[in-house]
Amino acid sequence: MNLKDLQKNFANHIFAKADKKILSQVFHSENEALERLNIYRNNILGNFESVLNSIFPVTKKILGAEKFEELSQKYYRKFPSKSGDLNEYGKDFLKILKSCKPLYLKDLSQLELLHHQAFFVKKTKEFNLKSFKKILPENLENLIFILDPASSLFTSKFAIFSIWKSEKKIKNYVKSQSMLICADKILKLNEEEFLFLTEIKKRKKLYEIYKTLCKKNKKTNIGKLINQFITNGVITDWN
Amino acid sequence: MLSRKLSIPANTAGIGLRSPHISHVLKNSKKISKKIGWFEIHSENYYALESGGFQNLLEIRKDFPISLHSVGNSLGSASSLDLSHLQKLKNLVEKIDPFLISDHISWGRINKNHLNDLLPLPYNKEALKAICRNISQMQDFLKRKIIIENPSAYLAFKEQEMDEAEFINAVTKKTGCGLLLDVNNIFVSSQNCAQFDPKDYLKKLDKEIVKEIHLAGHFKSKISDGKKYKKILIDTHNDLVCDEVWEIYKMAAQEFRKVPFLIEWDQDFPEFEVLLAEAKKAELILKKIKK
Repeated sequence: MNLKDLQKNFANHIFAKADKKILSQVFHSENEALERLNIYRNNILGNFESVLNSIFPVTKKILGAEKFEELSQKYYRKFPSKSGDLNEYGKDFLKILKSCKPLYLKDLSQLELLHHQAFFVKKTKEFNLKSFKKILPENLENLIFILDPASSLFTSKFAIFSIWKSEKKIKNYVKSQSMLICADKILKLNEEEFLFLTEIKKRKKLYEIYKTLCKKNKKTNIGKLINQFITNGVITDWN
Repeated sequence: MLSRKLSIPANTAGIGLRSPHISHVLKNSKKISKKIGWFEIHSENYYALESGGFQNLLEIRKDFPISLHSVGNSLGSASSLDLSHLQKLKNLVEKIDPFLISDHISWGRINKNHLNDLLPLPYNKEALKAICRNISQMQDFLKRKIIIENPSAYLAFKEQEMDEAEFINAVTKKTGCGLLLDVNNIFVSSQNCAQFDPKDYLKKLDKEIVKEIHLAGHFKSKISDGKKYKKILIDTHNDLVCDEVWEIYKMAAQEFRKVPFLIEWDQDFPEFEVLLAEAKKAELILKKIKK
């Protein structure tokens, strides 16, 4: 058997079980060869499952270990790893979860994936408060704030933040919630906070953001919002 | 780019640096640098050059030489290398300027799908040709020599045309690459496949090819052949180095002089001091041999 076929049959055995062609190439008796090949299978599938465990811990708790394992197996058969770097594995797991119940599962797993991906984004320097204080008041309205590149906004028609935080199913889950994922944090946002950060993401000038916020709430306190998101490291710079 | 002036003296201990120990190393680097000379990292964990993890690595690199140990290039694949993966390694090499770059005598990729594991090769002429082609491609791409690690095996193939030591000698001769001699892997494979004596294996290897030595622990398990149970060792890197592996290390240290050595630990992590103690033990063995 040539090398390419041997490797193809080995891989088939790992994913589809008991490929007779590879057994005939192994030095040991058939029973023993199966046991020995199982060591490789357990390592490979165990590695894939532990990557999914680390990205989607709450999704696993909600689904239960048995169901999660079943979906993990479905996933690696349908979406084989395409990189030698295991850190890239798991991005398409949401496609497997999309038809799973409860209904909020897809949003929950998307939140967990965003949280995982934030780890690989560069940390930015701290906000330069000293320079910021030197900006003349008449120039403030034209400022464009910049959010930490490791931050992303997420909104769901379900109470995803509450489920993620409690790590368990909740009764009243049909309740819209918005969140900010920033480095290792996930923060729940109210409607005004979400709108404020969404407008910053759109690179709107400060006076434009103020006008948008006023349409929703005439008493909006934009200074408080700016202070809040500079303090917690979400706004990191300005143009 | 960092300067390679942080070169490592021969016979120096290193430790495989893994995420549970990074904050400890960052806080105590001065103290640790008096006890060990270098760190080895898994390259793939640092391919995201924007990540916080990579920033930590750059900090550590200021005080320690680094060796890059890859697991995902699949050098033994019948198919050619994944160039996008190799490009990520090259980007990391340019940032870190490692004193060594290594991967394994194994395969893990077929038809563009990755199994993300170190799978065994048959030791025959076709596999030799494939791995030499891929190592040469990798060395040309990186514009420098690499070293390759002897594998731990849980099975043997029927159609072997040479033994593992002969295969390694042939690969290093054809490509100019070096050997990362993992003495735990020698023990694990010799026990699991019962095809060689570690002492003969070491004697058979060409003297000048060994550029680094790995030491690690393993896990004892068993398999059944349908009639009785057999012992099998799993290369888990989750325990202290066992006595038998220390014995192979003593033999290796006598055969191959002036080689840096490394303690690897990848699961069930102990306190960092446990790894330092293992490194110290290896150092004392070397000192005795020199006398």
